[in-house]
Amino acid sequence: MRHIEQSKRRTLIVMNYIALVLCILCFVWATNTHGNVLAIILAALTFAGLIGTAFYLYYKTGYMFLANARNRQLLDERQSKERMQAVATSYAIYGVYSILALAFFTWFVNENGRTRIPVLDIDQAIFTLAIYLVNILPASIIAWTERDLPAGEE
Amino acid sequence: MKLMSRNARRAGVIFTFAMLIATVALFYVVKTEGFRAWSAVALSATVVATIVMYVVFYIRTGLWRFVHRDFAGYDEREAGVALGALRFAYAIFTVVALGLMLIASATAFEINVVLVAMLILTAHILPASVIAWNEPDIEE
Repeated sequence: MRHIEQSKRRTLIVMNYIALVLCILCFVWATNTHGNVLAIILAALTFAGLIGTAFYLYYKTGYMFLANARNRQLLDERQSKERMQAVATSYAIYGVYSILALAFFTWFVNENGRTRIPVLDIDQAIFTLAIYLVNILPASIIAWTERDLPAGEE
Repeated sequence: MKLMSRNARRAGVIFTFAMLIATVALFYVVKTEGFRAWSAVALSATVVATIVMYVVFYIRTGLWRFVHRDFAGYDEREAGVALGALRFAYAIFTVVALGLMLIASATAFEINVVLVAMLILTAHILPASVIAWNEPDIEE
């Protein structure tokens, strides 16, 4: 498991979420402009940034494994509690996100299933964000909160 | 924590979720067909049953408190049980929420405040329900 300093991890997490938001916005822009070339290029670039930061931050460091390990015996007590805290926080965040998404569909989507504001045709964006959050949130929280190892233990 | 047999706990979980679903369904019936005597009585009964189950089954038995206390207070076994329940509840809630979003987005299905309230309650009691469902009987 590769160790990354906490400050660098936090910077990468922020970059990852910024890339996610920009990627979704560019896809919405491309959809609403029926394939604007600049929007597609920007969407592809931000998508590459999103995948790159996620791979480096969550896969290379092993945080993805820590958050999703099926066998609890592989984790020590500290890791187990960290993961529990991360899952509980993710559960709360995802719960709030779901309620807000449902409120969006109730208030802004008309009886034909289309948004009342044409610029905000963001149903797919809401789903994409939801699915990404479900998978990444626990690993993000562990990566954000875990302290640096004492010098010499890396 | 107050001890109950596994069968009693499972019956409690099934009854609670049946009452939650019935409350939402009856609210939609009342909304589409208007208030009638039978629907008003049935809706009141399901709401009362849901509240009673929440208090008697989740609060008084300590199930709710078990998954809502400070993580530092768990021993190793309790931490394992709580973590398993939280992970399973997270997975179930994710599927339910995504399903509802999909239905709301693709159809003219109207999300109302009762459904949202029941969804919040479901999110709160799901981890405790998973524990109530899975934990084996304790030999006294």
